[in-house]
Amino acid sequence: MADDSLPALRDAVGNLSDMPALPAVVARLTRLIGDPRTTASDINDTLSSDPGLVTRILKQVNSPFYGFSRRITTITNAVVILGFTHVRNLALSAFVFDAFGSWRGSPFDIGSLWRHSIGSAFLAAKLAKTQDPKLEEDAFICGLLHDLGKFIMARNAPAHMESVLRTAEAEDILFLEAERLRLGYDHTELGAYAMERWNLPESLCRVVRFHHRPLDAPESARTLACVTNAADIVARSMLLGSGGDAGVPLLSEEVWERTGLDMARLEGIMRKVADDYSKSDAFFAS
Amino acid sequence: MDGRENTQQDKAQEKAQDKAQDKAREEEQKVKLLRIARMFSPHQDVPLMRQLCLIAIRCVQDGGEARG
Repeated sequence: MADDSLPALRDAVGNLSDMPALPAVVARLTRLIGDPRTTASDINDTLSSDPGLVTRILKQVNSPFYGFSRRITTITNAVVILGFTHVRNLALSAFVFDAFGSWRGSPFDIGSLWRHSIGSAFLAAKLAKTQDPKLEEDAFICGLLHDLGKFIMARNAPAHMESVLRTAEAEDILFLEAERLRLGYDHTELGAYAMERWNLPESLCRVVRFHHRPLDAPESARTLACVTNAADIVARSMLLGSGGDAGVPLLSEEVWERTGLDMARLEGIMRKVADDYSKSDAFFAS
Repeated sequence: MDGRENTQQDKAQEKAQDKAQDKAREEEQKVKLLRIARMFSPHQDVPLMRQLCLIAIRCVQDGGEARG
């Protein structure tokens, strides 16, 4: 976090004291994923303490989005088929949707931002997979959480959100540019700050912090930051929800090169994501 | 006789409804395509962005886009 923006951010969101806390089960799951000794049974034991979450995850796993021919009835099975990190991603998605995505107290269209987040997550996962399949799951969660700061601003600092939205519309500029005009902080810092408070992995926090200036990210986070930046831009171009403004940020040549894609492959990815997105109802339900 | 007339009326009504729906879809798509072009307008001189815009427009034209 840039030191000069921290006080403004804290003022704005009251130190995030009333921000939803990461549920203990999701926090524990996140810790387990980072431990190479973790087994599918450990994940099952952890999730079993939250039957509601187990039901949600199994509902998602059995949705048309995944298209499995047989029904998956246990978390252990889901972990074996989808992998540890994917199950963590489903748990985190459920938490973020419950905490922010379904919240109805803002003039800002939260539902549209959630659709943008889901679309960006699908795109980021596919873009990352072409580079390195090991990055796919982390890319999904970076795509999902890249605009976390906007959700928090809408919930914890609605006056700031309104001011930014008004400025973006009146001046016909991007949300980020309006934040820089109106606030002493922006959604990238706010999102990364919240993720640090939730003790999510530092590598993911960095991606969220740098997703609008990915080439400034530390080398270890740069590839995922570039992928997330490109996913955000492509999601906007496909009209998958809305990031709160009516424009598309510039995709730099350098970022594009870093994704290692050509336009033909990108078009294939966009068509696949559009198809996935049309089957993604399970991501939009409690 | 009445039954046959009713069937014909139903068919005509169905046809008119289909036509109206097609027209509405066409209009909706036009709005979406214009929106994409408009969103890219500040970057229209950047070849990479122009290509991206054209692909996005193709995807939407082909019905790839699902939720607005």
